[in-house]
Amino acid sequence: MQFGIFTIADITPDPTTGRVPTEHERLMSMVEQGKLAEQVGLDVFAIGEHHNPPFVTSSPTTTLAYVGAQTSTIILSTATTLITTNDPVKIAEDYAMLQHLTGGRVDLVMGRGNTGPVYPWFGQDIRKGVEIAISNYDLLRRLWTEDVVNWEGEFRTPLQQFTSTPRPLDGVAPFVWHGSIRSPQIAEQAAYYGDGFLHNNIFWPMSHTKQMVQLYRERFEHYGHGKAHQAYVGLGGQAFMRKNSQDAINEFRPYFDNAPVYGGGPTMEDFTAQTPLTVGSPEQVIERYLTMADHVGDYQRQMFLMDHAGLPQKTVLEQIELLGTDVVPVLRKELEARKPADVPEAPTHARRVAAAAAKNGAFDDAYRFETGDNWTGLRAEDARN
Amino acid sequence: MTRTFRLVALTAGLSTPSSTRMLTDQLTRESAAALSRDGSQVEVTTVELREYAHDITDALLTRFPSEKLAMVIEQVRAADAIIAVTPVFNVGPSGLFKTFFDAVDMELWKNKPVLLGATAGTARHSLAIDYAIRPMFSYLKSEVVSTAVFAASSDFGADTEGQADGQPLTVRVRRAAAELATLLQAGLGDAAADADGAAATAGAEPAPARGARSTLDAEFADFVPMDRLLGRD
Repeated sequence: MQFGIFTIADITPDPTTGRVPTEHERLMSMVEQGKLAEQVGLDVFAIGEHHNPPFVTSSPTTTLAYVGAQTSTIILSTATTLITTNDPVKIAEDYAMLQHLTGGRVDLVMGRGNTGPVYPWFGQDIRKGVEIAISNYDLLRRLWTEDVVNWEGEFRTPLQQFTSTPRPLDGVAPFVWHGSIRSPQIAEQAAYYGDGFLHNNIFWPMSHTKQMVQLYRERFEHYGHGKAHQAYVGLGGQAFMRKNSQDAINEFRPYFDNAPVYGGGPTMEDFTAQTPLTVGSPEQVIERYLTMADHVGDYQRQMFLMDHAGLPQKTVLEQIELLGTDVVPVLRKELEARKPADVPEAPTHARRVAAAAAKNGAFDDAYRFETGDNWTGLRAEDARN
Repeated sequence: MTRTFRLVALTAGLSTPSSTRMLTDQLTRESAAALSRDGSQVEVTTVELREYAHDITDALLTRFPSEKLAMVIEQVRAADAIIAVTPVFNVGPSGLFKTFFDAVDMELWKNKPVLLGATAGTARHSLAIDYAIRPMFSYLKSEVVSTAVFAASSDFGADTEGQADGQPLTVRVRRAAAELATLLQAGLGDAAADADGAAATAGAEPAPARGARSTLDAEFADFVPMDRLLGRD
């Protein structure tokens, strides 16, 4: 089981002081959070991708590579990668680069993006969002698994004799999760490929989340990747902790009441009852998150949002420390104890390389391309003509 | 075989008691009477939207309904017809009425028979139903009953307009209720259910593996199997 934190890198004024961090401060605070996450024993650090203020994370691989250079074990991931408005060729290249430079510590969460104008800014049409996600991802997989790709489709210019470089590390592409809150088509997409499905349920009631996960699990089994309970599931989470639960409630309330998304809406009490947000002691957070598997089955990844709503960096770092030292060790022990032996471990590069070797034999780096020609990428038969 | 018609009345008056609620009760009573004339059973549920005002706002902001509001949504989904009644404020429906429709899934209303009612202080607002309320239901693809009923304060008394009938409001309510009954008895409520089923099988056919054993809500069947989408089946 993997535990991690994710940030959407929003610049939000601190409602208690009115202070607004600069873009530079916000970016550097994210880097510090990623490094601390590794130090306190978390497994995953993920960042969002946005192309509009108040967000500062337009180029995730830049930030992830920078964090990757200063860490050694933590998996670097996304929350999410925009599969609709990014060119799948550039995603294939960027994340293969990151994979090499970080020794395989990379996976991705694909998302469509819900900011309307981003689509036209990048030359796409939001009404075709699902179709673009399906088409772009199918091409992305081919770019990672096939050395030479000929491709033609609706949403980018055709490719003839194209080789995406560098080739994935050890011949194994980064693991992909598909994130969607409400679209059954995306759960179906994740299931079809045998990829992971991450339901970032931080703003959603479990009654909805469990059905999306169930759909994904049923379809995962339908496509023959394993039994439904063996599919790869991730969840979002959100917590604010202090040793004394009333302190947590008092301190977090102004941030809750003014937060983007739910500020001005339901009371914190209603929202914590309806969504995974837990405000209280570390013991209360443990108690709450031990129940998630009762709804969605044994799962592989639990992510937490810790740094939003204008919380100051000092507080965020304290929260990450509490999560890593007080909460996660207990969750990890309890959740792994209840997990049946035939439920797969969370995917890592090492596990995926071992699985590929067991299936196809050891990867031979010296002879990569199906063409036997590592320079041009041309097929042998094409080169003769 | 006697059948049961489920009517859900949504009433958006703000005061208690409210004249909007009085009109709603007249519409539900006459609709139930018209529908039960052939021996059918009628179940009426009346929802005072005022009691859900906070839940409706929260749903608009968080994009998911509270448990309390979700129960109303399920009642609407299961209803054979909706009776929707609002006061006229500033030449349109009340904000509470409009916000409820903004906060819930628009698919709920597709092909659903709807009887409209509105109230205001004077008859000068009577066309608000047709220029400001009916268009939304056209957009939502509901089957709106031709006669909508407007009631001004004076309509709750005797005939003040010199019409031949002593109680013109009652006559309009009966006419609207009869039209709703005709629609439902012609099977329009069934058609709504059928159309939903057809959409699920034509546009987004549930895969063979998911059959009766799947316990998922209908919205989770809204996908096209990937092998078909990619032309690889």
